[in-house]
Amino acid sequence: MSESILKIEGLSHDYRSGQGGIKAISFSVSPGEYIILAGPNGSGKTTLIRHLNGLLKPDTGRVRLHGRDIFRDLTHTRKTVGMVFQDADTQIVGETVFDEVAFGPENLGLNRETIDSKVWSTLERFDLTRFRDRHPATLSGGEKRRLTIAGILVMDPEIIIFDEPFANLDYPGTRDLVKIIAWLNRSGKTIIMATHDLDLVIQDAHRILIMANGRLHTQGKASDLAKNLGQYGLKPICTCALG
Amino acid sequence: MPNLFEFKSGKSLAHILDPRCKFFLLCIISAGLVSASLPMCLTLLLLVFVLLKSMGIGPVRLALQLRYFILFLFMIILVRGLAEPGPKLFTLIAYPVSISGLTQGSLVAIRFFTVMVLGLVFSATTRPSELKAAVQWFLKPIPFIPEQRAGVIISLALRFLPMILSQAKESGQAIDARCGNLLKNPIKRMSTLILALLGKTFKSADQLAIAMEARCYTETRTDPGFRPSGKEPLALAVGISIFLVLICI
Repeated sequence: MSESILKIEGLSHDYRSGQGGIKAISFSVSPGEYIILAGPNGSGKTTLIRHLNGLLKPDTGRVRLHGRDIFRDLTHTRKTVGMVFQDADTQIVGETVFDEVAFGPENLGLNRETIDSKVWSTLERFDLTRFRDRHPATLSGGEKRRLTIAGILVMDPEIIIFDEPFANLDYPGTRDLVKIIAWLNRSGKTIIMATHDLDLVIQDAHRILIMANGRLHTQGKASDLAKNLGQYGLKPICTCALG
Repeated sequence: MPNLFEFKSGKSLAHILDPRCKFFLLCIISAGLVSASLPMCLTLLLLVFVLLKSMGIGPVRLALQLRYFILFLFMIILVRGLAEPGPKLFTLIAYPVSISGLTQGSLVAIRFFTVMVLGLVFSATTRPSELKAAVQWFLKPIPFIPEQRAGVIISLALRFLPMILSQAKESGQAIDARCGNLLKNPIKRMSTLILALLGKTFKSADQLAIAMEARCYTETRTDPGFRPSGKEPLALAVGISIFLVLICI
C-alpha cells in the first residue's frame, strides 16, 4: 500500500455527559484499504468515524486528509470522505429516490445537466432506476441501504465510511451489501466499516482495528486477528471457533 | 395509511404544472375564498374533489386523513350556531342553536376546508425542492428578504411535517400497545404522547441535520430547473377566472 490517504493523530473527544468519547487515537489509512472497526457497544466507534469527515470537532488531535487538516476545506473533506449512517431512514432526505441521490451533487453546486446524468448512471449502477419516482419510505430495507450508498457514491468519494451497515437487514439484503462493499473496494474505494458482524466481511478486509473504552486497543491484519477476537470481547468468527 | 400531504409522483395535471404557477394559483384562489359565497365555495370544493380523484385520492380516504380537522370544523359550526342570535333550529342542553349561526358557521368551515384541501393538492403534487425554488423565485425581487434562507425554512418544514405525523402515530400505537388507551385523564394521555413525541422529533431532527451536513448541505445548492408543461397559460386563465367569480358572485 502507498502513503496514507487519511492520518488520525492523537484524536480525543469527551462528551459532557462523560459517556462514550475517544482517547488518544492514532492510525493511518492507505488508499484502497478495507478496514474494519470493531469493538463492543459504547467503545467509541461511531464517535471516531464522525471525526473522519468533520462532523465532530476533536478536543485534541487532528485528522489529515492527503496531508491537510480536514477542517481547512470541509466541503472537500465531505465530498472525499462519504459516510453511510447506521439508520438509513435518518440519512434519507429526498422525497423521491431520484431526489435523494441528487441531494449531494446539488449541495456541491454542480449544474443541472451534470447532476441529472450522474444521478441516472448511479441509479443504474445500483439497480434503482425503476424506483426513481418512488418515495424512499416505500423501499425495502436492502433497497434503502443501496439508496443511501448511491447517495454517497454519486459524489465520487475516495473513502466510504459505513456505520453498522448490516443493522436491520435481512439475509438477502446483507448478502447483497457484502458484495456491493467488496466491489466498491475492488474498484478503488477505501472502505472503513464499523461493525459487529465480522463473520460477513473478514474475508474481504485487510485490517481490523479493535476499540475498547474509547481507546484503540489493538490493530492488525484481519487474518491474524480473526482467531483471537473472543479475547477482545467480540464474537469469534464461526469458522475459526469450529477449527 | 400513507400521509396524504407527502409528495407522490404522478402524471396528473396538478403534477405537471410549473410549481410557480401552482403556487400563484393556490394564493389567489385561497384569497378569493375569503369573500366567496356558500354556493361558490361548494362548487369549487366539487372541482377540487374531481382533481383529487384524478390523483387517486377518494373522499373517504380524505375524510379519514382529515378527521380531526373535520371535527374541529364541526365545533366551529356549532359554536357559531350557539353564539349567533336568530330563529332557533333546535335546543342544545337549554341553549338555542340558530339557523343563521349554523349557516355562517358552515360557510366559514367550508372555506377553511377548501383551503386545506387545496393545500393538500399542492403539497402532494409538488416536491419540496420545487416549492423551495418557487418561493425563492417569488421572493427574489423583494429587497431585504433572504430568499434562499426562506426557501430552506419552508422546504425543511415540509420535510419534517410528515415525519412528525408518522412519529406521532408510532408513539400513539406504542402507548396504546401498553394499554395507554385506558388512561382516563385526557391531559395525562396527551402529555404522555407529547413528551415521547417531542423527544423523538428532536432526536430525528438532530440525526437528519448531521446526515445533511455529512453530504455538504448548503443554502446555495443547485435548485431543480423549472420545466413548464405548456399548460400553464390555460391553468392561469382558469385559475384567475375562478378567482374573479369567487370575489364577484
